[in-house]
Amino acid sequence: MSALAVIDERLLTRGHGLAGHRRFVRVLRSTRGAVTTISDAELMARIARRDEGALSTLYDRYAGATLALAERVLGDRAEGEDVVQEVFVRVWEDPTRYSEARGSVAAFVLSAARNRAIDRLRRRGARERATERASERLAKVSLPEPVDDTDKRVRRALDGLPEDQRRTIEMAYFDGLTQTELAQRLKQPLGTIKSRIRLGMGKLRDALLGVMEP
Amino acid sequence: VSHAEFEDLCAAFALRALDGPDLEKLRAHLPTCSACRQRVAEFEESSTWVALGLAPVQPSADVKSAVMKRISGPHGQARPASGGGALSPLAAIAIAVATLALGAAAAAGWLYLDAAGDVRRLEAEAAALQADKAALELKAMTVDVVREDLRRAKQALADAQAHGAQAEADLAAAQAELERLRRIEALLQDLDTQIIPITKKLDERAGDGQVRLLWRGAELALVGEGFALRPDQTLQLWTTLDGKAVTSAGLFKDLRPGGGVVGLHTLPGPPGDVAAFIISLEDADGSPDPHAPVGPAILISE
Repeated sequence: MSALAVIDERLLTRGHGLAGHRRFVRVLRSTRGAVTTISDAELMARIARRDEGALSTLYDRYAGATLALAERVLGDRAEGEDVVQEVFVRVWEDPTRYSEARGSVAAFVLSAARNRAIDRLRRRGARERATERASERLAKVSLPEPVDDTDKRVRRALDGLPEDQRRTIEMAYFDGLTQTELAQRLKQPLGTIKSRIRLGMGKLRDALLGVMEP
Repeated sequence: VSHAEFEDLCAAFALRALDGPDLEKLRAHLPTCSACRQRVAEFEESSTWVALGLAPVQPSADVKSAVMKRISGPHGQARPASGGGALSPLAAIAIAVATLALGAAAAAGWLYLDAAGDVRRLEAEAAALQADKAALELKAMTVDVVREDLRRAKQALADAQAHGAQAEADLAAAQAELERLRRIEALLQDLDTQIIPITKKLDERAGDGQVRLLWRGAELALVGEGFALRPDQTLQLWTTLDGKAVTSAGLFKDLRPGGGVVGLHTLPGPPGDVAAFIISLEDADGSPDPHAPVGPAILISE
């Protein structure tokens, strides 16, 4: 393992997670002009070659974000950790499901986590309670301070959404509600819900497309 | 559903929020449209940032241990980590010790160096294959885009050809109608043309309808007005020859409400043999018998 990779690993394992990794990449770029840390895509290629160290690194990069998402959807830490375990074992078992041409590794891992969490949510039939909890959390959530340019762009894009669009997208994303269910829940016409999703997602896409790292 | 409407559905589909008929329509559309598949992928990518806006929550150490244990089992088929992976300090020390031992052995022979060379070569080949795979995936996506554009271009050409054929048919029909009306106009202007009113009612169903016959030689033109016909009805002109035989001289086609020129026909026999003209009320296609009205005879020439 190179010294740079060791530094990156320490940033990850000491709880800095993805933000620490991105800051590390930024520092490397500013001081050396080239990035020597291992890219997500390269990690996936190594996982495909049965390199368990690569899976360990990928886990360190995204386990924190994955658990935050799963816990937010399910409202339960233990069940969220089950999802984290399932996701990374699944990445190991079938890494060919990832295609670099179709998107980032982050999107691949987090989409898998969200799908599993929402499937669990739907199976246990507790959407009503989860939605109420999620709605309560919407007002209470306290986001971390942005640490780099990418974080700031994410924050600006999310904060820049009108409140009704952000709330509708978050309820769809975290609570797994369909458009029809959202219309009932928010007591709005279905056409209004469709417009909020279309406009809000369009703004996120325009603002954030192409900024994924590493 | 227009393509723009499909594009509008992609955001909700990427969020898994689409339901009902919209979901079915987009599911059927996506396999045929690379542009919409790309759009869905972009929305899925950007929706990920909703999750990345959350503060990370580190799982307990037990979770990672469980993951690594499961992938290292008999079904996991893991191999030891390569240089770029993340290893615990203990594992790194263990590997370092093992490497030192192997290095000591290798110092006496060529086996280790040869194996290390093989590993580098295989890793280089794997990297090259990975690059090839990425290039092929990009090529496949490009082929999809080009094929979709080609399919649309072919459809546009077929639509244009169909439109052109219809336009040609419409033009031919308009020219035929113009020719027919010019012949009727010439017939009307000819001083030798007789104008014969057929106004004697034989049946109440004639209503206030009247027919005037423009007759010159063997040519007949008919002008009708005042009839209240249903869409499934038509009038049919009959000639009685030598006072006995009855022969159809044509249907009143395209009789407009309020009247108009309705037909241009040729007498079925010598004009001198015509004794009378009769109008009958028939179904839309006329009488099935060419020598006798099936519907009621409603008008006759005096």
